[in-house]
Amino acid sequence: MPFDESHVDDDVLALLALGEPAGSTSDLAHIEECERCTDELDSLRDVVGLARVGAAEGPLVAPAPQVWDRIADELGLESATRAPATVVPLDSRRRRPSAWGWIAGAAAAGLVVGGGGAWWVANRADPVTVQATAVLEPLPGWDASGSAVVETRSDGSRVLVVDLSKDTPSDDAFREVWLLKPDVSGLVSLGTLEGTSGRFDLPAGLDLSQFSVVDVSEEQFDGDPAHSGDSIVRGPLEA
Amino acid sequence: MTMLLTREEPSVSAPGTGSADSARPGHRLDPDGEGVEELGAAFARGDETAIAEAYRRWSALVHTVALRSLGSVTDAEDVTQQVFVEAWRSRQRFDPDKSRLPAWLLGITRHVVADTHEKRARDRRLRDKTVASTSDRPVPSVDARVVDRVLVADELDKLGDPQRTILRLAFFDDLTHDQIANRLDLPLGTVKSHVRRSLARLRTRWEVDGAVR
Repeated sequence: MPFDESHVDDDVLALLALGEPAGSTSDLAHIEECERCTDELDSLRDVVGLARVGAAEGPLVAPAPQVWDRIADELGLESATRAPATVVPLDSRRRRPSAWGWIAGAAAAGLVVGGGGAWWVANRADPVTVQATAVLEPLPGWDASGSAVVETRSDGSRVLVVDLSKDTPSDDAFREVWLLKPDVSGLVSLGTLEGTSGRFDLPAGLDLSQFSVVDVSEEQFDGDPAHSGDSIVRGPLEA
Repeated sequence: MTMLLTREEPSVSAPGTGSADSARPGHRLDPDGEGVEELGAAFARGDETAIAEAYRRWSALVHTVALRSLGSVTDAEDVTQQVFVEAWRSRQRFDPDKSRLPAWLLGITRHVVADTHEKRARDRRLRDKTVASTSDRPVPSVDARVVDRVLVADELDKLGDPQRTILRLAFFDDLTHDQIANRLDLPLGTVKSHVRRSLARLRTRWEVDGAVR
């Protein structure tokens, strides 16, 4: 408990759980005596152990696509229900093969211009087309820049891939990605951005010719879902 | 700043998308995605789009637990199928007010994995009775902590940077927090608070989704 003087600081417990020689002699003596601190340390050590072993085992593995078909067959699900689960594996949403970095990099360098012609990545199981790109420029007071790419999968679903040149770490704020109308008369939230890059599924009915500007804002934890008005970068999507 | 807030409903996750107010904090804080409670309620009601969405979100989790437990893709796929089929058929027993859908799915996964291990042991005994025992390999035991490891590792994977990098340097490179601060050119206090909060986040995910034993 950070505000409880009588217990050992949570920062110290976390470092001890990692195996660091942290804490004063009196901290260590306190832990010996204190059930709460001992339990907390044990629990954190457990998490560290699970993470060390678990992460070494590798990322999540999505099941093969036919598994869903078998489930839908066995349960006799309506065919309408079946399309959504032509699955985006949880894993691949986070961790992309290196091809993605390359596309994003190339887009940032202005090398990829769709111009109405489909631009396929052939060496992937689920080929995608780069539909539009945006160069993200910093707004006053910020020095990050970046790029955004709209890619379309073979099933027609679209993803906005955002890459920033640098993180803007803050303990009391987070970043949110939006699509705006050029006159800012309307906006759609796509989700929060952790780190410097993120992928955001675009709703099927979303008209990119209307919501054509990519915006990344800094938001406070104030419970207000509206745009804070504090944009970090912004840029128009161009085919 | 007041602006018109247009909230488009994602077509795929219709049952799981709550109102803007309730979805907002969940979006950032909930590792299982937006509207887990609404999705659970839709699932319990028998809304077929809910099982599709549940599969989209958690089939990789279920499949990975099965794969790590059983070591066979074929068995892991069978388990994944059984888990979602059983979950759907017994959805009346799922109480969305009492438990979260991913925790419930993982609970079923534990049972199905354990059953599969038992079946293997039975098959092995039958085979060993008829054939001279050629396989002295021990029967892999059910590892009760597979679910915990998969959840914690998945949450580690979901941490943004610099948190994920900080923890990975601590876990795998055995760097101390001041070495990490030097390496990443971050203030010491920032690294310490990232370590504390990130460990807490890993633990929360494990507690929230791995609760059913």
